[in-house]
Amino acid sequence: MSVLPLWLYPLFPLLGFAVLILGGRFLRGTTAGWIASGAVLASFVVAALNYLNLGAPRHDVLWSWLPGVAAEGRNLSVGFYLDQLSAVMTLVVTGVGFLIHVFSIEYMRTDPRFARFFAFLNFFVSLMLILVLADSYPLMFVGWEGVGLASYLLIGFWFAGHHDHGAVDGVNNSNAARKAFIMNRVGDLGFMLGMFLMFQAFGTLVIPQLFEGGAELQAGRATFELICLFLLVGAVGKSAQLPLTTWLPDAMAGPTPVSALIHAATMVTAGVYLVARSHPLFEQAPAASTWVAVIGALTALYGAISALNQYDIKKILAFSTVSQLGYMFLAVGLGAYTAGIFHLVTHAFFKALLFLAAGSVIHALSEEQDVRRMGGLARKLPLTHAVSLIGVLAISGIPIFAGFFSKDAILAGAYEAQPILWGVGLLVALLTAFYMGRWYFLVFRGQYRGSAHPHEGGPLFAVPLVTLAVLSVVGGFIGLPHFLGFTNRLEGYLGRVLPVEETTLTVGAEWALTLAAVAVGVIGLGVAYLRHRAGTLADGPLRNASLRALYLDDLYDGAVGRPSRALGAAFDAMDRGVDGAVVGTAEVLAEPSGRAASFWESGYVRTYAVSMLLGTAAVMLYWAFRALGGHS
Amino acid sequence: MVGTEWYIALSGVLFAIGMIGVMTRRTAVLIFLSVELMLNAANLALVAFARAWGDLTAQTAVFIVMTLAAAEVAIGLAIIVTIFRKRASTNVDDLAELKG
Amino acid sequence: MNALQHVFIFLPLVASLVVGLLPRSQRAWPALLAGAATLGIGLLIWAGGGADLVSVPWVRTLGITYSVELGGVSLLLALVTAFMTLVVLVYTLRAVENPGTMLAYVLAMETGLLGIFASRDLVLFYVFFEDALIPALLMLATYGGARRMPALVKFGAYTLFGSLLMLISIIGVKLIGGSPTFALADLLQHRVTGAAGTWLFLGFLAAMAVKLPLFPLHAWLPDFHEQNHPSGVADAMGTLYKVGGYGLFAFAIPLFPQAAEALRPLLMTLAAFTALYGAWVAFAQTDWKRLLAYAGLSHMGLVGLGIFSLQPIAVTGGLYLLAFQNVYTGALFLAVGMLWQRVGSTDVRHGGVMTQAPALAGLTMSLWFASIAVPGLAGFVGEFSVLLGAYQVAPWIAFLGGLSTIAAAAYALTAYQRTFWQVRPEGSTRVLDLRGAEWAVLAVPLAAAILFGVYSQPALNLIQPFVRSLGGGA
Repeated sequence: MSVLPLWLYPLFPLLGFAVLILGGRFLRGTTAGWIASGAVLASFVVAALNYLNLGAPRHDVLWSWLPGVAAEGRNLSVGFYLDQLSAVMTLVVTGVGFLIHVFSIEYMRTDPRFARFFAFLNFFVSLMLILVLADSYPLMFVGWEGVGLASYLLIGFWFAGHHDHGAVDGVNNSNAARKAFIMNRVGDLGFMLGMFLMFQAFGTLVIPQLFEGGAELQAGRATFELICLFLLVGAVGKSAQLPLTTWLPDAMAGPTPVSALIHAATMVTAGVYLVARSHPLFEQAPAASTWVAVIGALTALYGAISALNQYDIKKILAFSTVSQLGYMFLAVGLGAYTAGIFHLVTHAFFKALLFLAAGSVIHALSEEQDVRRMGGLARKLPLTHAVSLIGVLAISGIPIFAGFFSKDAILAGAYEAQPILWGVGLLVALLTAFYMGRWYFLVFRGQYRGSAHPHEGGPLFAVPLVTLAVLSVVGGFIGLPHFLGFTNRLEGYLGRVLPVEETTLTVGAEWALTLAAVAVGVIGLGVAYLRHRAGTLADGPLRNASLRALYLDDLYDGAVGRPSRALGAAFDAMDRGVDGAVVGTAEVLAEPSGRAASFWESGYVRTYAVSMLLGTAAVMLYWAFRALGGHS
Repeated sequence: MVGTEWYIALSGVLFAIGMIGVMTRRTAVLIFLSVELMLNAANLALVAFARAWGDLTAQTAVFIVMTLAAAEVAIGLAIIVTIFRKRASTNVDDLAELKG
Repeated sequence: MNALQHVFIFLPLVASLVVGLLPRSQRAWPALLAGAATLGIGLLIWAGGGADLVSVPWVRTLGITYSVELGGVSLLLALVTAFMTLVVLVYTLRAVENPGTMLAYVLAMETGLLGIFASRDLVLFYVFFEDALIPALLMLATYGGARRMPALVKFGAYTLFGSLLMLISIIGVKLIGGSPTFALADLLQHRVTGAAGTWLFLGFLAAMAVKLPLFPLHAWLPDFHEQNHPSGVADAMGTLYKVGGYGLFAFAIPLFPQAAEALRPLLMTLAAFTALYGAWVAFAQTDWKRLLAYAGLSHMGLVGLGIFSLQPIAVTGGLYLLAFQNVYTGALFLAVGMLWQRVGSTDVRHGGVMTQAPALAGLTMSLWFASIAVPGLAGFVGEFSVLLGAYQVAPWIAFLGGLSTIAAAAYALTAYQRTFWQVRPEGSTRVLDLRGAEWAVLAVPLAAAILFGVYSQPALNLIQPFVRSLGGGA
């Protein structure tokens, strides 16, 4: 069977979006949710079929679009490109996307804007597919900003506040959405500049033209470094890395399925995808690649520290996402592209699972999100508890769960390249295990501290949760490590488009690294358990510094937000000033002539009479002189 | 017979008196009288020339000026009366609203 | 086709006079008919591949000709003008009390604008240029707000001052270059170079910088928009009147390529600064119309950046942006008008309008996204090409202009959320959603913005041969 046309991927969700946005008001009950889920499922089927049938990369060109940025000055076309990397990405996007759509049908059932919500979700999936399938950087940018737009719409979905939380809630949600969009735009400018420089250096922005056929790209080292740094700025914005990280925790203002889909599983990993997609450039730019790794490590640490003492069930997960994205950046920055993508995939499984489990808890507790008012839910929500436990074990890197293999691959790669970064990674793993343990024990163990009446959700909750839980358990087996004598299937598949580095570590060293990673995971969970028993878990380490995410938001508001607003106001004042200056200049110029004229026009009859007399006299003098001059 | 130049001289003197009156007087009525004086100086000059050249065209011009002057007196005095009613004054220096 | 273009240009003016003469109750349909017919004729011309140059002497002794041609960029801009004029006419009937006079003004202005784009004679261009000003002034004078007279004087003074310098330059071009007529084709045969050329270029620039507008000659713009009739009808037409970019591209740069080249760094910097400055000032605005005015200023800065850079991609992008910003900026002005009709002011601080009028809010939001150049909408094609092309010439200036994309997101979303998101204050009037023709007034321009955001070939077909024929200007 041949590969299906690539435009089918985004078409289904886009049609779903069109139907729901135009006809949403005529749909009753949960119809809209099923339409949207069906559209994503159709895309998933296409993605799965193409995944199985894909041999050589496939390139479909549609219609022309941007002036003059393809090779030889031709107009750039809209086109799609499917290789092994994008095939894996499409599977994750549509697969996890479908499960989250199904979950949302139950979760959003009572919302008055049910159809609108699914329209936006479909819009997001469609644009995300365009992002990963784009055959050129500008088209990728369409998806890139498009998913940002979808994210904006969904973070701000409850723009007027949710339930009875009222006006403040509305303002906060709106601000969170706006912040996400603007910070993404900062990154997007970097992405654009990267494209501009790439065009200057290579004369085209079409990905197959750039990278295919083994042709070596010709440019100076500095050019490569600069292009990659620009692209890094873009990736940092989208993936919420330092220093553009603060929008992601705020983005939790959106409905929980949105957090699971956009702000954990798919959109925020686009930065990792961008770096992996541009690997021929990054391979020529060692300094920029190191920057990717360093930023990744720092962000991983930052996210982990900030997650230690959060009280919001979703914010802990959000900072955890920031931290895990840092891991992925660390991997791709060190050239371990397959390990980065591997962690991207497993993270999509267990983080979507954790978010949906959190959604289930929030749903059960009637919108309660503070972990201090939870506890003891293991008995009341057995299914949610079971899948959450799997998720926690997976993210903590406990063996056989998915996170163990992918995290291990990254840490091994880091140790090989730069032991300091490995040390940071290990510390982050420890912190991760602790705060996830804290999350788990506060929510599910001990005594219930709230006042709601928890109840498990229906089958539409159960199916996605169980599916993701199974994937979180077995998902790691696609990338089993070599040193245990397995073949790494993911590496074999992605190895056709991504470079695979042969490890130089001995089997003994690999064992040691693995044991160290597992040990810190167990220690982290163990410390959480001990403090749980001691009853001191609610107040995590570092108190306010952690709770306020190391004061980064305050720093930005002071260093950027306020000066910008002040400058805007100053410019406005100045503008009225410029106006005044121009008018003033005109007045100054007009003044002398005007004064002369107004002296003449005194309003006194006698002066007018004198003028007449003088005029007459002048005329008569003229004629007199002419007569005397002898002309007559 | 008195020579034409004498008429012209008288006309010039009358015109000058009228001119000075217009420029120095502040009462609207007196300025008005001075203007009349200037008009009649011009009339005198026209009549004198008409006789000197034996051409009646200038005489017709004089008739037109006289009728115009009559009309002007009627309207002008009416304006002055109205101004006086409004302002209780006919001093033209008080009427400088049109200055630029 | 060639005869049709004269009908195309003058039909609106004739219709305007007819509408003015008709009794009040019967003005609506003739005006709409004329607007639709004009657009139809324009599309016919487009389908026929454009209209060729027609040149007949007009004032023989002075060398003034009536030369018109509708092809390429001119045709694109003329079509957009005819399209938006029709949209504006439809909305005028809904939003303006006693719309007859306004309809006449709008139609009269359309002829001026179409003439600007069609003329291939400098004096004819000047005539149309000033001709379009009169209805614009009359709209402001007849329908403007309380402080309209200062705005009117300012608008008139800026424009006329610039035009005066342009007129002097026009005369200078012919005199110094020694061309027999003012027709563009003749003048191009007799180019003025050297110092004189630079001075004449600056003369053109003065007029175009006012009409582009370019910092610091933009001060008339916010007042003009703020004081115009709140329905946004006049503002949408005013947006169409921002023809400075076209004038530079079609006349000033071909006539004075060396001067344009020499002044390129300066002008690009100025344009990029205008883009950033406009966006930043927009951030501080609390009135939708002032905000839109500055947003337009920011776009025009990018248009200028593209055209001044003399780089083919950037010039193409600049013209693309110039053409299509009319569509979404114009529609946004009309959307502000709709908001004003419902809540009684154009202030941004209302809150929660979307909870009561989702269609109005949704369409407005989509148009805003087109305006801040979200990819997939028409604004992006232009802005991306401008910045990409400008980067090839001067990276730092492109970066400066690129910063405006961030600022644009900030001002647009901030104002949007204050009006449409958040919570509707208690006790405020209930906002009704869109009805009937209002849907079309917003949705049709949005559809155009989407269409030309994803499928730009028809427009590029009109722009690119022209840009190439200039050899990229440089």
